[in-house]
Amino acid sequence: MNKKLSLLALPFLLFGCDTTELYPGDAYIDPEFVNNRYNAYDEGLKEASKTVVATLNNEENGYFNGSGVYEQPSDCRGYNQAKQWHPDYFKNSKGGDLRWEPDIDNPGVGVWSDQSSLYDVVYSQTKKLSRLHDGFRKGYLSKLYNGQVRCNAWGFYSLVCLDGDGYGTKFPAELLEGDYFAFACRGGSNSPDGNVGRVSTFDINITFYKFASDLETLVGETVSLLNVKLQTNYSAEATSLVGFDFADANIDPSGIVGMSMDFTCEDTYVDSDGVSHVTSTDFDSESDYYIGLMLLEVLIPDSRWN
Amino acid sequence: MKDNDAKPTLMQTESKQGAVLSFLAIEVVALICFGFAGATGLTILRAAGLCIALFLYPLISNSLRFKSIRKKDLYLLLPVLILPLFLGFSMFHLAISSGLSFVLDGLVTAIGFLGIGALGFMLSSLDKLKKEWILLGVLGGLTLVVLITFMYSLCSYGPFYASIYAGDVYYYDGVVFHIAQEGKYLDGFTFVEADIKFALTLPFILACSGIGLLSLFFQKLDKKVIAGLSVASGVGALNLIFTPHLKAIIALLLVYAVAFVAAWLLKIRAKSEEARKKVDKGVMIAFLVLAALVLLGVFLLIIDSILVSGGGGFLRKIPLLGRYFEDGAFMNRIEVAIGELIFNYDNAGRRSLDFASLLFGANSNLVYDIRIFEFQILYQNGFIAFFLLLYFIFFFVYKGYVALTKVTDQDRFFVFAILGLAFGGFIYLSLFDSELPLKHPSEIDGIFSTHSTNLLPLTRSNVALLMAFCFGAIYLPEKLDPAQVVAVPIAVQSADYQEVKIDE
Repeated sequence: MNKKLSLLALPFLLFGCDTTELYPGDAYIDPEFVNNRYNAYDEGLKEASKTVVATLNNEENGYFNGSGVYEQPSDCRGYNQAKQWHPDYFKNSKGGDLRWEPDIDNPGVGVWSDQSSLYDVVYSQTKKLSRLHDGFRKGYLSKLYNGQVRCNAWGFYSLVCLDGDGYGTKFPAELLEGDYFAFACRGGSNSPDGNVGRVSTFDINITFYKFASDLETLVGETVSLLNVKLQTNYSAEATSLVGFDFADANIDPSGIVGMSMDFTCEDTYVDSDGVSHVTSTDFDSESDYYIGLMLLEVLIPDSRWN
Repeated sequence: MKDNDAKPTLMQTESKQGAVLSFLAIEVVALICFGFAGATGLTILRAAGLCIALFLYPLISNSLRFKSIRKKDLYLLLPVLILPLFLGFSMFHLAISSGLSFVLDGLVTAIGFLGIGALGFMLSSLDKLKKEWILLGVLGGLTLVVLITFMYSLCSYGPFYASIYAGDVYYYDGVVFHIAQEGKYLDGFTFVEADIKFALTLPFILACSGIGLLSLFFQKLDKKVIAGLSVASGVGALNLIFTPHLKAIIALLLVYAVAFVAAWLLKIRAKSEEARKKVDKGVMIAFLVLAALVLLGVFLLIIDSILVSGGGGFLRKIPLLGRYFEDGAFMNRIEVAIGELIFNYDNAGRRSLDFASLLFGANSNLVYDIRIFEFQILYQNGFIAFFLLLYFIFFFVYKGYVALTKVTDQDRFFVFAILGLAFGGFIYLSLFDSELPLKHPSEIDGIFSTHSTNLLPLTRSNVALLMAFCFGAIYLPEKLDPAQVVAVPIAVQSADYQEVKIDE
């Protein structure tokens, strides 16, 4: 009898698998820029020991970034530099070129739709992580794995807003094999220079985590990307593909189970009177103006997962 | 040679055939109610249902119920029999599918309605087949799928999630979804997230099966029947409560209130000849008034839709009700859809009547999420299908009343339960129908589910087939007293259940 009762009670005891990661309906879409910061680190990532294994510059065998031209904010966009250095990364199955945009089939802001018509046509949809493992479809960070590399008028629904502390996540699976790491991003600021914008220079640290030999402790290997030039406040549609080969960063990708990203940025906003204002990457500090990294996509293209 | 060794007589053979075929028919009905193997499964089950109905025909062709069908019955049935054709084939379905798949899909849909409706009629015409078994098939399939989904839903969301997490969202594929507005739905062999109203359709219908217990007002029931109906309706009701879906619970109470009034009227009717006449007259008047009101409402809505598509409209000016007809409001969506159905617009924005669309459904793949299934069918299948559907609904009500008044004591629970399921389905779909239910359908078609979009037309669902089965199950010809059926033992009706050797 007790066994039967236990079986009946089982569903009530097990409940909640789909309610582990819920947010209030207005989370991360606040009109106030700094309120949309995402700075969560999964358990064990902050405490993990980290080693800087590579410091890369914007050059061949270093990291690629956007168009390769950064004179004007409008220059900072797309994937041309990566395509120039690694043309084979951007070929579809028929040998044709994968496009940068349109990055999504867009029925409306925040509306889910089938993107399969863009597979083998558009770079981000073809290479997105959610195609490689279903686990990437779930959770807040799924917006980094859904192939949407531009705003498409989705505003904060399209991106993860980072301050200097960045974020850290464990992947839903273990990486077995991969050639390169890339992410689509731009700068973002609460300074009132929308549609004009500026070119901002970021130093971005990306740390990949693996389990140590005890299979419990996490250890991190950090790659620093120096002087990453991104546009800030020019256009939400102008994002750049930044990334590097694992081989160039002296990283063996097999066994990676998580990553984190943080950055520093020395940025100045010059107002209409010509007065310069230093922006802050620390959203908790007192400042008139802040700058953050607007992350839209994280890619480990053509990778295999356990 | 001893009698026992003799070859089986024709009667015995037919008896065994009846037993086997009725068993298979009940299985098919149970699997349809379960939604076994999704859209692919339903296609096969529709075909199987039709085949079994054809095989059952010789066995019931001599039954009084079948033989009582006269020309008048056929005339009255004619609109019901051609309705499936208009539900299967429409301009809308042509617009959303290519040539061959349109023909096959339409054909399977139309045949499915006819086959499953006929199956319901034939099964309930087999007098030796206890009605408990038919009900067991229907409720067994429904209860199983509802229970499985209910348990999975509890595991996924926990109890009362729609209240506890009201306003909360989760992310899937980078898109925000409100958890309180969704429920689990078994699509083939995969659980998917669907609109909560859609997900609770079967639990609501199942919860209405408890109406069969109202036959306790008339006579004692077998304990097994009481237990079966209680468990089935209890599972459905618990699912609604543990979600919870307040509007559905209120609708359920409304359905039970109407059923209770109907049972009370029948009780009064049974007291005397005078009471019978009074009740019949009262019901007839109520029926006619209701029909007139519905027709008037439809007429006004169509006129207003025409005016709205030209920028006018008068219903929005009515006090209290007017707000439902304002731009973007609930009824306005229906009017816009009707406008889309009636008119064509050229590049200059001039409108002209579109007769093909008017008669056979919108010539567009645009889908309106109209919550009232009758108007969804009007939009998708056109005015002919819509008026045939209205006829079917009123004819069903009429035949339901006939069945309630003529049913024998032993089968009363069956008629009550079947009518409860049908009435529950009708009320629920008239309030909470959802044709775009899937929240994030699979990007890759599965073998058992071919939904790459979230469009799931009601006409292609197992709920619509269940309605067809219910109609067939309670249908009685005009000139028939079921008591006679019991009194006349016809050879082919003696389908006792026996063990059948496979080589016989």
